[in-house]
Formats: sequence, structure tokens, C-alpha cells
Amino acid sequence: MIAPAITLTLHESRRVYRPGEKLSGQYYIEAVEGTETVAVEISVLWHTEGKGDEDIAVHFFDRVSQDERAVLDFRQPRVFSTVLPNSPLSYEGVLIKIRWCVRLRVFLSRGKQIVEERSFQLGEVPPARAVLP
Amino acid sequence: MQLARPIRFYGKKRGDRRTGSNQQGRFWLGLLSAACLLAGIIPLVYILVVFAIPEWRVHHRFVHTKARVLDSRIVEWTNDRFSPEIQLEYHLASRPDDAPLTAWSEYEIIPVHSRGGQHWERAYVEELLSEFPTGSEHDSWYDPRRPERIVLKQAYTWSAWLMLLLPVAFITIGGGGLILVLLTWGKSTERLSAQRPPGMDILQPKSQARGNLLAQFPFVPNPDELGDSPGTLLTHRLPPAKAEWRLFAAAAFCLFWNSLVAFFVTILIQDFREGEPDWWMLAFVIPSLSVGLAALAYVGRLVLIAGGVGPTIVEVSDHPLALGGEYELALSQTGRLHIESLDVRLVCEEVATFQQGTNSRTTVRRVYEQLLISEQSFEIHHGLPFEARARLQVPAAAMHSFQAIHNRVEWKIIVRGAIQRWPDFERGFPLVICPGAATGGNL
Repeated sequence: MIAPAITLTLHESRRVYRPGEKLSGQYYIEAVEGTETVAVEISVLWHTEGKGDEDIAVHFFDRVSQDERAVLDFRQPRVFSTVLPNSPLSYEGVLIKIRWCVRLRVFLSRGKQIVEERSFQLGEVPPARAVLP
Repeated sequence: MQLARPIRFYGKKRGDRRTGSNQQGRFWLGLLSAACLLAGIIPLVYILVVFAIPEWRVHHRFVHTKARVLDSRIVEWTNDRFSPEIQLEYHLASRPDDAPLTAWSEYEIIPVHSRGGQHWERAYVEELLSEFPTGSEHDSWYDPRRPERIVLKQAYTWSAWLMLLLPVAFITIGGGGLILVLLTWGKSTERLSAQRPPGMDILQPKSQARGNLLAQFPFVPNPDELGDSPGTLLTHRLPPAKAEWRLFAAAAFCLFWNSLVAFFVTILIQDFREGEPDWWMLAFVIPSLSVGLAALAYVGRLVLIAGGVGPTIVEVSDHPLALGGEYELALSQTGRLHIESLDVRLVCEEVATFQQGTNSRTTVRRVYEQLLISEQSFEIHHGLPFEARARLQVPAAAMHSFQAIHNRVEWKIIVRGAIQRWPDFERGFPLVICPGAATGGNL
């Protein structure tokens, strides 16, 4: 199966955002013959990486799905925007890393999913280094 | 054919974490839950049908009558197991003038329903039948739906009722797992996280007691949960980290372990006195005794620290603090001690919790440390506490306090003391630090 091409862009190309700032962007999906886009979910979220089990929290979420009343055309760009929260800030720790990203999840027919991400940094916390107690 | 890398059957490793298909995980969870549910339902139905419902019916639905014993016999089953059968003659309560009914009773209701599954040794059955000689009259109870079913005993099998707890536990776990799978089936992690009602979101701070302060800073712990109180030296008194459980847990373990060891030591001494020493037990007791003594020493040390060193009080000029902020800190140490050294530090630690097999493990790594107070060789007299003040400069370029389910960034004041002829002590005082102007937030 050929996967449809997904385009996800943030309106401002910078990587660092300050808390309380507006983050916006757009996405569209170029359809490929033989595949049908059933639904699309766009989220602005943070998740942890590192030694501990993963924590995740969604700050912004929007789901658009095909229904019987109208056929949606996902080739048309769709805009999203949200005001970023004050915390948690992006963090590059020793055991814990907090990553912010915009995640686009595309649900195709027959249960297939494609995920596209654009990561960004919230705040400017410098990386941490281990200190011997 | 040589594979570039071995096939992974259960997931792939990314950094420190294993990842896999959520959908596949939910499928297996569903399957396991269904098996668990089934493992609960089958014994539940068996216990209900064989024990609980029949015994309840004997108490509440069967009709009382007086029955006369006509005959008795012992029925032999396999493996030298036997059951009694008693022939009874009785009148139905609803038709006392009709001819009496004759039936073989199986003494109590359980054998009737367990299809002969309740059997005893021959001696017990003979003893049982001796209580029912031919011609004697006894209280008995018959089933109004099938009057030929009559029993001579009205009792509950309490072990069977207790056994109900086991299938109920399986059903709860299996049913809960299945409901979870059904509620989350086909939904992405993001959708589940976004759809969680605010009250159900255990990642979110529980209360917003400080007005809009915590609403401004999601995933920063609530300072009210630390339980800080007004201070006497400065505005806020920081509560000590809850360390009492350590003493309690150590004391409980010490008591349990040493009781076991004492039991075995008593047996061992008895064996030695009787001239029959058990060398295997001795080999087992020696290391166990060492563990017991070590536990005793550890508990003693904790008791000495808790009782010997007076309360430590730490107060700050404001709380919660902000990154980049400047505050005042006051320390008060009571007791009657000769202190060799006393250090007060502001520290930041990362705390990560992860599953390793069936165990939950926690790793802590210190990422920031600032010495605030350092005093050497001084006396603290009774009723005259040692007091010191320091400027608390919270670094601007650091991570704020953070709390999620598995990961935390904790800030605290640590007071560490070395005392002459006494165990060293260390006491922690958690505090909350919010993002500051340098990192994008303002208190």
C-alpha cells in the first residue's frame, strides 16, 4: 500500500515558543488511489522520555472524521491554533526529558494509521547535568 | 540466510523504553481479561449451584416435618469414600391426612447437588448413621417442589461462602479489564488523554486551592498538598518529608523477622539439648540471625536519630518560590548536641518510576545543589536552639517543580548534620518552585 503524503507545518518556523504564546499551523493529506482517510486527529501534547515510564498529556485536541452526511476533503488545508500553557516546560534532564510536539494521526481504511510529528520547545530551560550528592 | 538483526516478538526498544503496538497490547489485555472473567464465572456458578443456593433453599424454602427412620444404608463410592442414605417416612405439611410419603434421604443437601461429590470415610458415616436408629423420629425438611427430596440437616457450609471471594475477585479483575479494553478500543493515546474528564485526570493537580496560581501552572505540584504552615521566623514553615514510615516499616520488618528467627533458634537449642543437633537448620539460622541483628541495628539507629536529635525547623519568606527569585531562609535546630558539622542545601532531584517485570522501581538523580548554610563544630544547648539565616537564590536557568504519574522533578531543602558520638542525620523539606520570568512564566 502506498501511504498518502501528509503535510504538517507550523505557521512560524521557529523552534522555541514561550508559555502563553499562540501556536498555529496547518495540515493536509494528499490522497492516493486505493486508500481512504477515515479520520484525522491533531494534538498539541507533551510526553516524557527517559528512564521512567512514559507520561503524556494532551493540551489541544481536534478530531475530524468522515460521516454519512458529508464527505470531507482532507486535501484542503486545515488550520489549527492554540495558546500554549505555562508549564510543563520542555526539559532535557538526566533521567527525564519532557518533549512538546504537534502530532497528526491519520486513520486510513482497514485500521491503518500514520503519525506525523513536529516537535517544538516550550520555554528555555537549559539541559541538566547530574550532581553527586 | 543471515538476518540484519534478530526478530523482536514483543516490541522494540527506543532509548530506555520498550514500545509496541497499543492495539496489540489491548487485544492481549482483552484476551487475558476474558480468560480471567471465565475463570471466575465457572467456579462461581459451581459454588452457587452446589452449595449456596441449595443451602439457602433448605433454610428458607424447604418445609419442616417430623420423619420416622425406616431403614439406613451406606453407599460406597470410589477410593474408599462413603455416604449415608436414610429411608424416611413422613407426612407433607400441606396434606397431613394423606398417606405418608417414603423416600431415601441423603442426610444433607450438598450430596444431592454435587452428584455424590460429598463423601466421607466409612467410620464417620457409621457414626453418623448411629444417630438415626430405625424407628426414631427426627426433624427434617423437604422440598415443596419435589417432596421426595428430604434432608435431616439444616446447615451452611461457611467455607463455600468464603470461597465465593475468590471467583468474585477474578470476575472483578477480568470484568474491569474487559470494560477498559472496550472503552479504549480503537482510540488513540491522544484521544484518550484528551477525553479524560477533568476529575478523572490523575495527571492533573487535584485541587486549585491557591486560586488561579496552580491553574496557571499545570503539572506543578500543589503547595497545599505539602501542608506548609505559617512560620514564626519567616512567613512559611516547610513541612519535613514524611520519613516516619521508614522507622515504622523497619520496626515491623525487624519484629517479624526476629520473631521467626527466635522460633527457629528455640527449636535449635532444644535439639542441641536433646543431643540431636540439626546442622541444616543451624546453617539456615546463622545467616538469618545476621539479617535480624542488622535489622535491629538499623532500627536502633533510626530511633536514636528520631529521639536524640531535636526537631529541625526550616522556614522561607515565600512559598511557592519562582525560578530566578530571591528569598530568605531560616533554620532552627533544637536538642542538646555537639554538632561537628551542619549543612543546609537547596537541591533538585529527578525521580523516575518504571516497571521492571512485575516490580515498580524508582530511580533518583540529583541535578542541582546549592550550599546555603555550613557551620562547623558548635554546641546546641537545651532550650536554646541553634538559629541561622541565609539568602536563598533560586537559579533562573533550571527546571521548575514537575509532577506526573511516573516522573517528577522535586526541589527541597536538605539539612545534614554530623553529631559527636551519634549517628549522622539528614532531613528533607520539600518545596515547590514555579517557572520564572527567565523560563517564560511569572508568579
